[in-house]
Amino acid sequence: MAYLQKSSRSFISIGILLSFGFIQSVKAQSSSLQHYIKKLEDENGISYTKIMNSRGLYITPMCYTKTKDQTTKRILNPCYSCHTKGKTPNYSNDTDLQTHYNFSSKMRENPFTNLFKERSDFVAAMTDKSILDYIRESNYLNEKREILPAIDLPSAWKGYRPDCYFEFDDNGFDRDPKGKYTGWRAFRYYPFLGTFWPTNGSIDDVLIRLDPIFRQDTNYTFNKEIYSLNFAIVESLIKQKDISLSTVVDEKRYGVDLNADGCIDKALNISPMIESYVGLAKRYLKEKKVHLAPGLFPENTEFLHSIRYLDWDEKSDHIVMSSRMKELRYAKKYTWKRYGEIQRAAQAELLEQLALDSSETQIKLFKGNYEQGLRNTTGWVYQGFIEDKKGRLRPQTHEETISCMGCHSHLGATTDSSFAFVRKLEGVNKDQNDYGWKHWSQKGLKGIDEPVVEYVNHGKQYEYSFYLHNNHSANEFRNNNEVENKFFDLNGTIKQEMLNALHDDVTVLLFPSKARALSLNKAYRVIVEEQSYIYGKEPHITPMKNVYKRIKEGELTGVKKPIVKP
Amino acid sequence: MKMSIRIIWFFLILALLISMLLNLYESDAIDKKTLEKVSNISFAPVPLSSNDHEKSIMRVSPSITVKYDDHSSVTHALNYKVLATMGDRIGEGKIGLMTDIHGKPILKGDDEDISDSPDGNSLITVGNRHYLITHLEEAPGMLYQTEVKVENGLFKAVNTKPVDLTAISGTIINCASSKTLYGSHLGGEEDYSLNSIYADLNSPFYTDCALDGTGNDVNGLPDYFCLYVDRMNQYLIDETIDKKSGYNGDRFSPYNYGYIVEVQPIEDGTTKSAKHYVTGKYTPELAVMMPDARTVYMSDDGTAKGFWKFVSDRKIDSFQENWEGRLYAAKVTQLSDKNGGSFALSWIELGHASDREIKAMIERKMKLTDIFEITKPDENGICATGKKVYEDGQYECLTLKSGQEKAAAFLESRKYAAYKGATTEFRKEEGITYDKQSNALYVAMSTIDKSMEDNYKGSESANHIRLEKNRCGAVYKITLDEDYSGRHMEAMVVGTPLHVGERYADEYGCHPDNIANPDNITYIGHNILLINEDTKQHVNNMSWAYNTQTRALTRIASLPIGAEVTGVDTAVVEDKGILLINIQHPFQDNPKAADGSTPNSGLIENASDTQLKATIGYFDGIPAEIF
Repeated sequence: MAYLQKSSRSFISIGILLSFGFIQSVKAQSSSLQHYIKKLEDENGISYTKIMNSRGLYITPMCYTKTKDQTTKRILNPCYSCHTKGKTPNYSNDTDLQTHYNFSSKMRENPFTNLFKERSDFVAAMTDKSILDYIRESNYLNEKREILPAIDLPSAWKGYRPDCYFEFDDNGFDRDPKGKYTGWRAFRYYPFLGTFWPTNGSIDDVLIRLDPIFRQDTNYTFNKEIYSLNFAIVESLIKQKDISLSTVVDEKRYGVDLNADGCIDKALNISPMIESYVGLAKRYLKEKKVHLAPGLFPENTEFLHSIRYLDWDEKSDHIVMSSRMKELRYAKKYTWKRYGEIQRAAQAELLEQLALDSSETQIKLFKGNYEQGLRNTTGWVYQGFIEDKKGRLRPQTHEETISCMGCHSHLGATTDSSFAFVRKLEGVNKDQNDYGWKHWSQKGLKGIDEPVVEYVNHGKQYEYSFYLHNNHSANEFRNNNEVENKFFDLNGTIKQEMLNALHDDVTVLLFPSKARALSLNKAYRVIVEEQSYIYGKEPHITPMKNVYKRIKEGELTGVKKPIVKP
Repeated sequence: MKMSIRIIWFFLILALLISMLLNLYESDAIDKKTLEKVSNISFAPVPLSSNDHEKSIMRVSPSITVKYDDHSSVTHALNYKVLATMGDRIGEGKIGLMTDIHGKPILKGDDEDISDSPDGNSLITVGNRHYLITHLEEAPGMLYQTEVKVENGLFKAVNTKPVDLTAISGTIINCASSKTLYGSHLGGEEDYSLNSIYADLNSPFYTDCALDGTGNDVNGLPDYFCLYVDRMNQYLIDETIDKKSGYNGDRFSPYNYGYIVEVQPIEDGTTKSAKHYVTGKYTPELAVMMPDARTVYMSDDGTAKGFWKFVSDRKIDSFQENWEGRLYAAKVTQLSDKNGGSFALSWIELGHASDREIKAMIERKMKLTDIFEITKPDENGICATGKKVYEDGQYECLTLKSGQEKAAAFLESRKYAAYKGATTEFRKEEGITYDKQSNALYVAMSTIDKSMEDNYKGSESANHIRLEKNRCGAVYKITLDEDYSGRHMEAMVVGTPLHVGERYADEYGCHPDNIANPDNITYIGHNILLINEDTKQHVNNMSWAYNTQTRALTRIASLPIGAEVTGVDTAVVEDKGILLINIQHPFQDNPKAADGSTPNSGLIENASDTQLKATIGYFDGIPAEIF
């Protein structure tokens, strides 16, 4: 008994000592995080927690566009690209934003003052060589192939720690320096309308990763076939359409009716009516630890989205992605939201306005912080890294992170809050022009046919041509003279021969000339040096003219018949 | 080590002493109950939140003191307890689960759908059983019946199920509620948008809905009316809705929603329900029955709304499906515009009918233009024919068709009230409750603005109410005569708007020691009126105990930031007093300072997903003797 008491006492003492040590180490870690953040704040003149410009930065600069052309009096509608009727389970319908600027009174003053800055002198003063040298130096990987932003982050960092090596195999799967799969997979997609076209200053890539249970067989062993098949299943669910497989798959091997034809035999495609994933995820689904529903990604799906400068490849004579990243954006579906919850969140604001008989729009708040990201109401969390003054990738501040949220919540145009995956190319053969599973660095945009989509009252349309037809420029600011001169004559009539060329190769529209590419790179470099992202990070050289500095109360866009997806 | 043992001993002894003390109180209270009458009650105040933690949690009055006729008093400790969180499985059911007319879960995709909007509560005892009827403020609207018991001194929900509403073809946006004299539940269908002006093809306001379940019109644009029709149809599953005939179907009619709904729990666990069409169609928040068992008052939520009185031909002393009587709309004559204003009240009779008669009209698939001719005013705002009426944000020119007085009175109550010269200028009329000590009715006006201001939008033809705007709102007292008819209306508690530079103005839009945007109100006896807020003008929504005699205002609850107070009701279950209170949408509304800024945004952003859940709860420790 005495012995027991003595030993338990010493156990307690050891326990206390250990926990004291643990507390000390936690303290040390959190202080190293505080130190890291403080240093970044001091060096870059930013604040990680305070709002320096506006809480409403989720409203994009593009939303301040003047839809009424000052000279031609033409009414232009770039708004429909984002503000439209969602497809279930996207219950948002923000089509009304095509017709009026429904801003909170606090957001009528355009907070993106960078848009009105003159950058010509700065651009002229910078040589092509210096900008090319800058953008060709990676700020993501060093020579030892270590991930720089991951090394920089202190160990106490609770948010995402970059872990993709951009080292892809033939099917777009990423591998670490030891050859182990990281789970990330690159895919090719039709760039979204407007801003994300390289001709407007940036080129981007998107990678997707599913939870480890989607990569493993029931013995918890990584299996690339299972992972690929699960990707095809997710693609079919997200697009709510049949997805072809590269080879005939024996359904018996997985015990899943992939093509939903009612029998477990052979399948050449995945049907969106499918009722299960394959491998370990199948078991998890049965145990209700993971969910499956059309139009939704399963829990713990992640996206990585890098925004790059426009490098110039002399050999192919067109732009390519720079090694340097402007930004690295990250999203994770941290929790499952049922259709009903998504619908409630989507319609809450509408019903609140009805109940209060108020047309007053409130600034939306997004839960979260810069470290763990900001959450939307469909179960996603968003976080990002952006260049510091010296060009190293640093975590985005809370306010900078807010700018993710406008596009990734409550837009009719998104699919489970995302843009790219639903636009993924569907070719299943590696040699095909539209092969879907590769990184842009492996197979670029050149030679991709223009996508065709359907709109209410307009039927099927070439998507990019239709945008040009409605917006008369390649972006919402209508400051892309190169595209305007290329696609429109002096009367503003669209050139049919250019559209014909565009139908066969999207880069006819999407790729800028070398001069434009380098100028826009230089123009963005100013914003990096200023660390003034919260005032607008769209590269431009002369002050924007087609953007409101202040929106009048009740201002209408002039669009009478909104363009809506079916 | 020794030190810590001493500390533990100290706390143990302290806890023992406290529990002994509390026991003393308890036994004393039981003794008192049999000997002395309660002379008054008072709650200990909840201090204003002073830090982020306090702003983020539910805090209730620490104690209630009951005084007796012999001048003795007993103090009871109070705590907030959660009874249920939406989505909880309770016995055979899951509270908040949305179901259709067949009782099957309404599926969204393959998933069930759980409401996050509990509203009115009525805790009703029938025989030996106690049922909590809870509103879901949803479209389709639902009510849940939850059986509660006292177990180990605490309330426990033992079984829940949706109330069967098939007989009345469902409900919409069930808002606040009250209990009748005979112990049934009366709730308001706060229907904002199923207005016949959008439903009738011959109306200039006609809306062509896609009827595809999305709430959109045929051009793919979102529309409130279409949203409500689609939502109701998820419940009704009516494939016969005819867009060309007033959106009437075999089950659905826009005329079937916007009334007072009665639910009577039966001891065997079943319920009876009725829709009382004779109370009129508008946007009722709730109804309150007077002690004569004949007079019932109804409030009407929104802008440019009326105030309503129903007088039954006969006493209603038990659940009856078919009420019969007269419907009146109030007409006010402003006597003063000072401090929230005062008014003389008169009543304009709209008509006499029975529920059965009006139900038969709805079943005949009536449309607006069967009752009124309707046009829009010209560009100068002039009606070429008919009377100009402002309703639901629209100006209408109305001409009553001959022989349609009864249909107009009960199916188009607000249009007809305005047509006959009653007052339809109330703005954000919310809770009502009756005080038998003063024979008075209290009405909450959440805000005094818009249609309560002088000549709102410059075209109020009647302009009965001409008050100065007050964004903090007020609670009015309506003095009743011996027939329970309202005669005089006067602001009793008026919120205090803060101006920039004043104390508290950097965080509050309305003074925190006074009410802001009163919503649910409940008179609990002993001169105590509970005033509950739905406001963005206070950092935390609050519940107040207002003493109607001393005019003392005591803060008795401070909710988590961004939440609204709903479902306040009192009852006694197995000799235990209960004061119910729901926390609706915590961490959602962003409180405003006097300059319109939102200094607590960071706190709202910090909320975890768990903190966002709505709960049904209660003050524990209330002595049963006070009810």
